[in-house]
Amino acid sequence: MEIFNNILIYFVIVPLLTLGGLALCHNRGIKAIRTVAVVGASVLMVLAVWLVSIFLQARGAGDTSEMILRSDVLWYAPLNIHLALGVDGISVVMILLSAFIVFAGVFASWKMNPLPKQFFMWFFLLSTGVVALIPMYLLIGVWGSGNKNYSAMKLTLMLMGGSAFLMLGLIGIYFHSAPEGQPLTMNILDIAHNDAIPHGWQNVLFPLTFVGFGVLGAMFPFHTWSPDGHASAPTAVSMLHAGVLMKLGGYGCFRIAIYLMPYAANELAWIFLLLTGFSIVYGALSACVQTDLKYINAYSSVSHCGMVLFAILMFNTTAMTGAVLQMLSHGLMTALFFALIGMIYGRTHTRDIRDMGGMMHIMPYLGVGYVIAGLASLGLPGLSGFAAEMTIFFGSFQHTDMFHRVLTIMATTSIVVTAVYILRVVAKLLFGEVQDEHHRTLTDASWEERLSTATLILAVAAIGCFPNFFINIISSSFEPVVKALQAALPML
Amino acid sequence: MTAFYMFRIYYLIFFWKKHEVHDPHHAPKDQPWTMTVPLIILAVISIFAGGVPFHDLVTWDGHHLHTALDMKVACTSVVIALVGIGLATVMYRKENPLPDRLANSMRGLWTASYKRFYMDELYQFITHKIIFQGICVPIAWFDRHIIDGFMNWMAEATNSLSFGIRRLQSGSIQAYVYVYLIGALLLGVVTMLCVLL
Repeated sequence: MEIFNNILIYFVIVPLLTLGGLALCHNRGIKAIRTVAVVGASVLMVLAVWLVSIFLQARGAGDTSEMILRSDVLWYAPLNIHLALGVDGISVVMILLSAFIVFAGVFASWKMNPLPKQFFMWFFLLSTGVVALIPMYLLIGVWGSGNKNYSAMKLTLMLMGGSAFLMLGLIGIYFHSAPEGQPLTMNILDIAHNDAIPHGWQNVLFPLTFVGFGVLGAMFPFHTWSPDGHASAPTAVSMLHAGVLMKLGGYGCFRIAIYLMPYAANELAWIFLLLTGFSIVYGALSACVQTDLKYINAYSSVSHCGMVLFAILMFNTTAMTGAVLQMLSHGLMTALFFALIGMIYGRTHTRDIRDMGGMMHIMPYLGVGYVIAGLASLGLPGLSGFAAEMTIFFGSFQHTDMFHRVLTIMATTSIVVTAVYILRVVAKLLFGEVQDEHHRTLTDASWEERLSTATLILAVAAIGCFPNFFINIISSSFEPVVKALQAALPML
Repeated sequence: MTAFYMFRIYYLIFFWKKHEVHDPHHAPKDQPWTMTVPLIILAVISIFAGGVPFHDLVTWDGHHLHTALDMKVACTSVVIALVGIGLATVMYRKENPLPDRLANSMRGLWTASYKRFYMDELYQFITHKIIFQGICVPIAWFDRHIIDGFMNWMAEATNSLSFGIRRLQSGSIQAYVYVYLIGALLLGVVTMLCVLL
């Protein structure tokens, strides 16, 4: 099979093999389970780094095609459905992101109890990305905390609802994917080149797909699964979900909704700009008065993911590049946040900031990690948040009309609010008086926790210090798309 | 003003009152060399900093800034600074009741100035009362009760709807026949009415 010569298929195969390996482990053979999980995650990481180097070589050798490493296998002939693979710069960095988070997630769930084997099996199934929701439901329902049944059900139903919109949109796109007389296709690149979706239909299908993916990206008013879901999910699942799966929303909005239907994107962008712009400020303000650490982070995610969608709708290379940087940045720092929160919760058995204080003396490593994540979140130069948000607001402000500028200024105010809620938590949680005398006996991070958080901190700092490396990978992929968009859009 | 307040601090720290040493271990000592050396360096630099030709170094359009020393302005500011220093010397060189009397004569202004014109209180009021209590709390409430409440309501509505129509699928043949007969009867009545009218 020619497709097995393509490195990309291994990003699906390796997690599945790991899953198979885990299935062979004994239920209580915790060492074997950990070894298999670490090997699987490490192989994924090596593959991802290798992929980046392949991509850079191809671009360096002058390959300017939209996607590289393409391969195509006919899957279901009657509907002309193929298994088609290919990556552009955006996908490359997303794959790198997920490899990092899976790696950190394995170490963050080192002491998972009960049923570690089953947990890791579902975890790796989740990380194949082929089936996302069902593993989520079980992972939260079985290994979650608090009101977990309610949360698992809510998250699944709301995301399923989004998927229903999406399904309608995708079927609609399929039936208009090619001009009269040619075979219909599901191949994104072919659909984009055919450009055969009638404008009237675009106006129907664009909102369906955008909302469908927007639910996944926690767009207001479809975001309420996020606080409850994250609050109940076990650490590694929160990490993977906020760090990777929420990014599917932003990626899908761009890759399916905008890329395939540029006409409707132009017509209807204003509605979604209003919604996402509102999301940004709304999420940040809601985060200010939450008392549960995970709720604060979930609302912060609503704000930051709103920024991703907001920037994608700006239709210029700078803002869109910023959007992908923000996906990377938010993915890593939210994963870091959730990892740290999980570790703190594992010790204190509370996530309410009113019951905690003075943690900096008790667990300095976790405390410093939390401050670094917080600083990345509020956009300190040198960490990832600054590079991403700066690029987004720079790109958004390139629009000269009143509407875009006013919205951008509104969205920018969220930076201040972010600083407020981050520093509020840092002050209450890490400094001040110790609230509970039992907390004085708690220990600092163990080696696997240090490894997990250090991986993420290094990645956050790498993006912050060398944003150009990532920007070069990303923006080369946006240029052809933005050109195509601009050809379709008279207003730009 | 700057000259006045700098010399006020200077006199208050080094002259005003004789420092009484109760405990010889905590008596003020001269600083160690690690502090002296940086202080000397900074002092030397600040003496000569005025001579750095900034107008040659700073630019916004590629040309050097054109600057000149206006003797009138320079003399006036030096004189005002000297007056400030003199005033500070009179008021704070030795312990005396003059500053207190002045403060008492302008109590309101003095308090406002002592409280930094209530800027901190203003900021505290804006963040806590207006932003947190006035904006964030209602938004969080709205999110939990209206937006999320709507989602929960949809789930509950689906549930109660299913509960309501569950009898349609009872599996009891008699019930199906019963409904079927009533339907047929109604159809018959409607048809008859149509024919008759």
